[in-house]
Amino acid sequence: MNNFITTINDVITDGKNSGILHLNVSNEILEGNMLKINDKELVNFSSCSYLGLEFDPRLKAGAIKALEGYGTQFSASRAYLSSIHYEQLEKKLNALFGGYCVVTPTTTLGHISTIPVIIGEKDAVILDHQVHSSIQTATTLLKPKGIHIELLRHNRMDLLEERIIQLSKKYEKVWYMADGIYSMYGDGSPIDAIYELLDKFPKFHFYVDDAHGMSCFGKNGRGFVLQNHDLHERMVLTTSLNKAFASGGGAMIFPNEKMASLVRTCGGPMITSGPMQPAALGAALAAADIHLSKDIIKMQEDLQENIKYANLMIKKVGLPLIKELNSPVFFIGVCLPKVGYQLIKKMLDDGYYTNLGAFPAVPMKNTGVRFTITRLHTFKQIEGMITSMARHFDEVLLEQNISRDQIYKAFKIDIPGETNNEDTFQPILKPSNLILEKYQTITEIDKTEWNRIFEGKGSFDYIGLLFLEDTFRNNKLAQDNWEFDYLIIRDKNKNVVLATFFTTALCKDDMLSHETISHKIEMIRKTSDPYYLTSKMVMTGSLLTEGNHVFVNEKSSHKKQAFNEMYWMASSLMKKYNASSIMLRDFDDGNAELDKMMLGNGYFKTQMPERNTHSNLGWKTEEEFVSTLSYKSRYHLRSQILKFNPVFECHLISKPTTEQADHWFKLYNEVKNNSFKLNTFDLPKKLFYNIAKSQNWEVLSICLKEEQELKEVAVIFNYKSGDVYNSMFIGIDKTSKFEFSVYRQALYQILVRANSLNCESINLGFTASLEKRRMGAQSFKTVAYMQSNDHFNAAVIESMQISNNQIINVFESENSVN
Amino acid sequence: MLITQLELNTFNNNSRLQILSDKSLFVCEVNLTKGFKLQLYSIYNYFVEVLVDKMGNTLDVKPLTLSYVANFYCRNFDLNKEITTNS
Repeated sequence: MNNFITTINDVITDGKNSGILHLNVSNEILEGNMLKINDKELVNFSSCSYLGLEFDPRLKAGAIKALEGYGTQFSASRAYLSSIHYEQLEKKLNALFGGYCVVTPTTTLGHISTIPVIIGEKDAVILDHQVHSSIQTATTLLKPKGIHIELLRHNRMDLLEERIIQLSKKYEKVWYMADGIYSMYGDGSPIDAIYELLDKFPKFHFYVDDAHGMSCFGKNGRGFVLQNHDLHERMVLTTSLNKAFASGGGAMIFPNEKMASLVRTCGGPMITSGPMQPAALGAALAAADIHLSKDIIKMQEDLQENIKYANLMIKKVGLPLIKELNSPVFFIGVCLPKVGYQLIKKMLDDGYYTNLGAFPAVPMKNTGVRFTITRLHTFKQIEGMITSMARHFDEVLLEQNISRDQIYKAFKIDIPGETNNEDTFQPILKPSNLILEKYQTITEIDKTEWNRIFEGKGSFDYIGLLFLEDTFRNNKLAQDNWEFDYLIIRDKNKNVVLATFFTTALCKDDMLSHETISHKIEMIRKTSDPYYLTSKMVMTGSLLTEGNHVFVNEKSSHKKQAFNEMYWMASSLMKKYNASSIMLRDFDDGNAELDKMMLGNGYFKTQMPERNTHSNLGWKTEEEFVSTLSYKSRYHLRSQILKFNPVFECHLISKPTTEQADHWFKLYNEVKNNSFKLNTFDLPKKLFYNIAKSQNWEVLSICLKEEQELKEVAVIFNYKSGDVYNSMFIGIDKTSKFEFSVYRQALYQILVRANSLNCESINLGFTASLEKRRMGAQSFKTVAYMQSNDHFNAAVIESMQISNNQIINVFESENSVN
Repeated sequence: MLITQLELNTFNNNSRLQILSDKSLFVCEVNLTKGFKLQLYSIYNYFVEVLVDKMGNTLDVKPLTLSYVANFYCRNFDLNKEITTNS
């Protein structure tokens, strides 16, 4: 499984285990909005049947009539035969929408039928970042044709206009694909602005899915998009008949008969998939009649009254509603998944069923309780549910030690003034009984204590961090300037419970992506924008260190609390430095307790390259070392390395010249520019000059004996910390005819050097695990825990991973770092 | 939860009736001609009047000012007594 699927699986499984996801209704017969789960009567606040038409006797009668007439199904492709109901329904929907309708078995199949047919090879597609996944799925069918597709930040009309102007120069049509009402936060597309763009730009076309707006808004329930406009001649409106329409299927509404006919005859599933069942079509016919009658007006009014009442109640109790709108979808921010799980569970106990709005639908730290309001709800039910949520909201915040302000900050919304309701209160966070020490330079920390904790763990002992601070400050390029922050947490007896350091640096968002993806992105960086898909990241450790950067006193009873403090410090650094993500890295994989804790706090797990450590040291002779290896490794060592020993000469460079440092930089770049396994910015030249001056760093030079002279073909940069030798990075002359032998020789020379220094172990770094294992190293699966306040760049990279033939190019002016 | 007079005004008659059924106290009823009736309800600190036809259909639901209640209802009823009796 890739990281994305793994993360989704982790989140959903966690929700299942918490008893709030993948639940089953046990009623044989439903009565209104009540349902039974695990024998508990609940008011359903998750239905998308906003008008409650599923219980309307006219729909039931319509379904029964069609069922009795045609049986349970009419099994024929519509390319051959359609039941009478289809023609009748499409005719009614034509009248309803003022366009040309094609009814499809589902909205998703509707998109799959429509998008590949109406989008041509000379067209470009712009997807709103939050457009429904069914549209995104359908657009993947365009990729093999090489059709240009890009993402746009959610509802950013200013950027959309820029892109229309640019893309219109090259493409025949520029399609923008969006939702009418978005399913998570319940916010809508800026329809008036989009119509202005339609009028302004003749090449601009609009494809919109109004599933959640259908029936609830507009004349005859035409939906949110058409509530103030008629169908535009360059627009395709798609909608669901499966939500407030209460029957089933999807409807694609086209501005002309030609386009509708094309989709009907050429849309893949229109030919190869089965039709809607007669009962659903019969219900849809009855629903269409209701929509075309005056009855719909009263129903819409009733729903709006309920929505208004819900908004009023939420305001009174002061719950953090993310967007106050007149749509039936509500989203109360809770920030972290663990808060959402607890809150929903407590509401279930009170008799109210609501949904968790979590990753991947929203960013991890923007978890919320999503609920829907229908016409069937009474004010009493609405008030009861919201009162229950408000009461438990504060309880759960107290339990998890989270403030409302933290929620508002996570959602980047204004902290409201005090509400009039005296029942509303700000939970007072439990006072921490831990002592937090925060520093911005290692020089403020006691050297002995820091080294007692971190010496021998990597290249981040006291001297190592002094070196990094000196190297990655006061530089010209943004990526070469890091922020340093240190955290030491003590108990009341001054014992260290947790210690770590953070660096905040500009990173490539594809750092951990597959090499092929990075390779594609690098092409764009080289040709147009060097900061394309880059953003600031707060991380434990740094881009130049490897190892366990987070010291935790496992015996301390304050361990969990200390972790919470670390999370909040990382969050505050993200805000302070305007970073987009946090990475808590270099943890050993397989720690289920840590996984759960991280997930609950909004961090998803992602695989890092394997960490390689060699601890087979202390041998006296070459033969003794060889004897410690397996049969295969011995053969490899002898045939691939020792055999070539006479060709090479290895020595330690003690007083390097500037010219030598320049040559190191060149060799380093030769390796770096050909490897995207861990795609980072190039290290600055200053680093190599500083290494030359540093006492704890040492450089091994591998030279090839060529006739009368020595040619330096590799340099290995190592850092010694305590009894641990850290091989940090390498430079190799890629033009050397012995390239592979050079790398292997370098690995061997590292072992020899560390052994001669009586080191206990060597950290050999990430990547090239096979080569390192052949030398007796052990590989460890390593993970990082990530949190992002913005999914946009990750979505772009993810979309590249599913692309076969082309890159989904993304225009994003905010990406560029000045 | 308290619904203020101002908030009640934002809802339609059906919704107001829902709110009345949950949150109000029936005070008194005045019989008008042709079977019409006026019903007076109290919600916390204000009054609401409901106009009902002879079939029992609600025609209007509106919050009242205190002066209206005093002038119209208190001429015929001892409001304090009614409230005490009903509660």
